[in-house]
Amino acid sequence: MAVRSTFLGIEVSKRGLAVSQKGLDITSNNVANINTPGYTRQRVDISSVNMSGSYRYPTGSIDNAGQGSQVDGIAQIRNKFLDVRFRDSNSNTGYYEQQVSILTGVQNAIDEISSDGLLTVYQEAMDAIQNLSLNPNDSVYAATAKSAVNNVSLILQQFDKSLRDVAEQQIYDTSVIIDSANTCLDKIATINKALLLESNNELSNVYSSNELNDQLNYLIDELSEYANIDVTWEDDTTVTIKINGHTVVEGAWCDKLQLNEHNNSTIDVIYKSSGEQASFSGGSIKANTDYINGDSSVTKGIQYYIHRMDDFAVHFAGVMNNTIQEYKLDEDGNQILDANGDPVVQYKTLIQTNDGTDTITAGNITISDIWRANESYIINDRPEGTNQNTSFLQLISKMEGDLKIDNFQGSLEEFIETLNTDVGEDIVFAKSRYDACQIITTDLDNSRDEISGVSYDEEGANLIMYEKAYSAMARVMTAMDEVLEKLINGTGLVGR
Amino acid sequence: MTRVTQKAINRTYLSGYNKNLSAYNTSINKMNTGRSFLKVSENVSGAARTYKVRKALSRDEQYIENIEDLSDRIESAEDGLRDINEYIQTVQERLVQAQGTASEEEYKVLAREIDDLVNNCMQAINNSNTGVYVFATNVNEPPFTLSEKGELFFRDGTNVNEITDRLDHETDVYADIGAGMTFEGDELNTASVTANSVSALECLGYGTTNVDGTTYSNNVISLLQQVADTIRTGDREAMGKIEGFLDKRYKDFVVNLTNVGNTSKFLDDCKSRIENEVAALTERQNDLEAVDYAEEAIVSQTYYMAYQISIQMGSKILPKSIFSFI
Repeated sequence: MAVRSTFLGIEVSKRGLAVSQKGLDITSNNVANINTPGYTRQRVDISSVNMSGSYRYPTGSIDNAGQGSQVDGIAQIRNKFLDVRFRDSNSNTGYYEQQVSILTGVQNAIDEISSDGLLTVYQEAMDAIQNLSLNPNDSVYAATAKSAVNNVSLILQQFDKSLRDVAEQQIYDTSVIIDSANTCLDKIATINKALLLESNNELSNVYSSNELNDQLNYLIDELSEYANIDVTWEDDTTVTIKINGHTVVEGAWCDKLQLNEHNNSTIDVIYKSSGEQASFSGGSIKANTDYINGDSSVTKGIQYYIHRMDDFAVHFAGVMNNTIQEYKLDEDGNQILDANGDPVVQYKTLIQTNDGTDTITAGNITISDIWRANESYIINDRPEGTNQNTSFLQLISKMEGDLKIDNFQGSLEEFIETLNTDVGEDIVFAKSRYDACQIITTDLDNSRDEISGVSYDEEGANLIMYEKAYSAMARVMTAMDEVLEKLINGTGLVGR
Repeated sequence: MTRVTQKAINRTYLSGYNKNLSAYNTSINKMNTGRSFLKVSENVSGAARTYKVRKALSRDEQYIENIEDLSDRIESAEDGLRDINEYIQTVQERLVQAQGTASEEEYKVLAREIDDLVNNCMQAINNSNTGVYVFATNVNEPPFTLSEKGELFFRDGTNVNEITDRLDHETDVYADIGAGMTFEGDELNTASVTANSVSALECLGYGTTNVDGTTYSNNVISLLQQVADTIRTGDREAMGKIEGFLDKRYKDFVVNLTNVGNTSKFLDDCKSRIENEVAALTERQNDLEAVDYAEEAIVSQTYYMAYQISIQMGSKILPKSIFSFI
């Protein structure tokens, strides 16, 4: 057996002290970062110094045994499968959270429960026409009816504006979300770049930069709230991210999302690189595009409710403008006669648009200029043979009566009731989905924390463990010192 | 082995804490507003029922208004017709009296008295109430005018004796009192509504009847005028004939008066029925929309307790770790 190195013990003690010191450092780092968002607990990977069985020393060597311990690296404790599940769930949570937010805005805009909305004003208009039917020649009741019908048109305008305000607010929110998503993409690409530089490090495949990885994972988590993403970890330690098959981050390159707002309060999202339409299957951006643009019975978004209010306005105007009769007059105010010499009769125009267009919408509906100028217009110039009182009763009957709007069949009041209960039901559904997704997301986050989170107790125990190990190694070094003392100062003294 | 981390404890604790606080806040809101729900999404089926109840209430309240308005007119008309009833009875008495009197001067006195009664009838039939003529139909004008010659004209200028079909001269008006008003095309189904006016022509009559070569007015007022003129002539035979016709017309008049009274009673019954409906609907609305304070106070207190427990638990659980002891 060859002679061991004189100071091997000191070296072993030094390594042991260094390992324990690093253990204390990482423990304190874990505790210091316990509340740092995205932080993954770190672990000191320690191994026994191997001086045998390698290509250089193919056989075991007693002389080289007992070299002590060393730090192989600082590892992160993370489960990538849980990360994938968390991000999928987070996308769904982001989607339903945003859906609830948008539909709650719609619900508030067309509220009929806590405030006097369209239903109340419509009922007041019918009451006013009822009173007019009882006093069909009284200009006071005609003025009241004019005012009440005008209120219906005003509240329709108000509803239209409120819904468009909700759309504007949501479009702004979408732009903020897209800015945040773009910032995430940018930062991920920047981190990828740093990881690429670091990939030259020979240990990088095993121990890449923990802090960069934390930032990367945190950004990917955040991005998953905005969109459904597929994350691939490349061999060079960078990540490639795709949204519905479209690559948005690859190495140090990233694409950007761009929001396009249209005049009709709708939006679309495109990729800046190609101008290609971006499609999503989850996340808050999809919820925003779905429910800002949604105009079908499947996806009842803001546009759906805006257009249903337009439907109401058109049908209300149709009822008002096709019931009360008058003589048709020429430009000089003379009655126009038909081929038999009888005066031509037409319906009075009680409702018109306020912007000169021909198409009535909830946003432009108003009472006609002629009625606005003269409240008695509704009761004046009754064609001979027509019964004013019956006309008003017919108006009430039509206002109460059933009509067909697309797939809806019922009265105008029931139409509004249905819109309100529709949005309420959609909110209830979205809330239940949001709650379910949030529970799953929270559970998955807790599961990730079971692996990656910092525990005070555990770190406390580690602290004691490393502190004790440090003390023990210090004692070993003292022992080695005493051994050397014996060797140097207490050996070979015989005969002195 | 499951690791329980501080972050997971914090997350779970804050989630529970926020749920308790949110539930407590919702309960407080309910008590402050007095409403069991503030948004449709809080109770969709309740909201759907609430809309129906609110609509039914609104309709019923308007029907009650319509009936009250209608009742006022009908009652005023009934009062006017009762006055006319008394005047006719007085004329009948004077007519009998005239047939037993020989003095020309007395004929004149009786005729003048009947002239005055005719004027009273005109006042009763042309009476207005808050700007609305009691016997107005589609036009708010007094129904009759009496010429100096004693001829009675309808408001469109036609002599009532020349009218053969009153609907050529006036249009009935109707009120929706919640009997399920319907239209067939543009035609109102009059059986589904109630007449909103009392026609003076219908109650008092129009046109003429020839009895044994003598033409009598079917209109009661015009006929009374005819009675006065007949008394002035002192022709007892003519007086006897017109008395017979007046008796016949009076019977018709009383039938019309009774019909008006029946309408008044019918409206009272309708109003009473709808008021009962309103009471039931109001109770239903209260059940649907109003918060049950006793129940909500208990719920609120429960949430408050849970909230307080959350705080206490938080102060005990959150800081605990080995660091408290080493």
